[in-house]
Amino acid sequence: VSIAIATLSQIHNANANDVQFAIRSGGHSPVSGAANGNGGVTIDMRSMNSINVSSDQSVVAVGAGTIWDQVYEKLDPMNLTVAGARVAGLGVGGFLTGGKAYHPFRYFL
Amino acid sequence: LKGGSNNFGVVTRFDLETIAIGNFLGGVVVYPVSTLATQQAAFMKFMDPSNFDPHAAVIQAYVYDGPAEGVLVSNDMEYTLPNISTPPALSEFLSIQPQYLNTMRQGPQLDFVTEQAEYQPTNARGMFINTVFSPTLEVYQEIFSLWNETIPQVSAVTDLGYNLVFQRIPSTVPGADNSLGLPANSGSLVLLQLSNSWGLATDDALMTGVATQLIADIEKVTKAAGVYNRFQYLNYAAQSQTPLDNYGAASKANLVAVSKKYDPQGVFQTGVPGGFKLSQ
Repeated sequence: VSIAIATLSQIHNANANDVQFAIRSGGHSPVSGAANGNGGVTIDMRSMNSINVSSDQSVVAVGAGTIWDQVYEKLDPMNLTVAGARVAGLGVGGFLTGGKAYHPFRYFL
Repeated sequence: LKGGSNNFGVVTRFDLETIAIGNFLGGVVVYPVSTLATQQAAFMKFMDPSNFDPHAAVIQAYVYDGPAEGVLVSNDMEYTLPNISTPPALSEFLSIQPQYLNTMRQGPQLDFVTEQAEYQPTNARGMFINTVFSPTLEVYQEIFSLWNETIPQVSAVTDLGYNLVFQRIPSTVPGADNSLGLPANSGSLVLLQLSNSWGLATDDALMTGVATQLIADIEKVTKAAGVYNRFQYLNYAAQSQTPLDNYGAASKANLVAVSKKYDPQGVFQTGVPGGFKLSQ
């Protein structure tokens, strides 16, 4: 990702009109251009979907392209959850950078 | 920076604190609109800070289901303590009759998020738009009436999904260490979302126009009643809305300063044009 962004930034800084890109995790946003670059580059995060629970089970490291159902599928058998989305199919990255985390409410946001 | 969306860079990993949980109560109950008054009273009671229960969640939605059924009421509920079937915070919603559908059961989280996904429209055109207010019964009733009056404008639209959705902004959010700009004394807040979908591009202007006008009319009501809150939830915001500005001047200035420091050339301002940008 950093190589891609560095390359895109170089092109952008040489001429701001030469490159446009978008960053996609779950692709759920209906806002134009939020989940893909029309005529530009889409950085599709969906292959960055690792889910690693720490040895003491207090923290889970989740790749930004992970879909929330994958997170719950991994955590449910461990009787753990995280403050995430309430609808399957949503991506981790766009959901969390948008400012919300759902459940349980004590930990919302 | 939470709430800053795609203005700063690309996050590749999130480290999330885990929460211990087993199977818990969740599901959806759907009722006819004849239960309206009881539903509205129950939601106001749920929103009353003196009844606050951090384990209880309700999303109350009003759904236009076509000319035959008309409007349906849906309460999507969870209670995040194990082995409790009728928690006091949800008992009124659970007891309202008649019920057309009731999927309440004990289950794992994956079960409930999968169920929610089944209710989402697929491959349709869609939009969200949202506004926030401090709840009073009069305002809550008036908002439903305003929404209900817009149905004839859209009822002929192909593959229509037309939903008025209310959920609590948890009391832990205001004052939290984030960019959303809600002060600690914000009180009880309801997030109102219009969630609309349709089938044809030729209906884009109609659907967007009706929803935009409706939110403007609702905000007239909440402002007149002194219960309007400027906050807009970015992921439910329409393109015409300004969620970053509405975090407030201090929060916005902080976000702009971070952007200038880490992205001085503005790659993520002009090179990533989708979504909501600090530079606009």
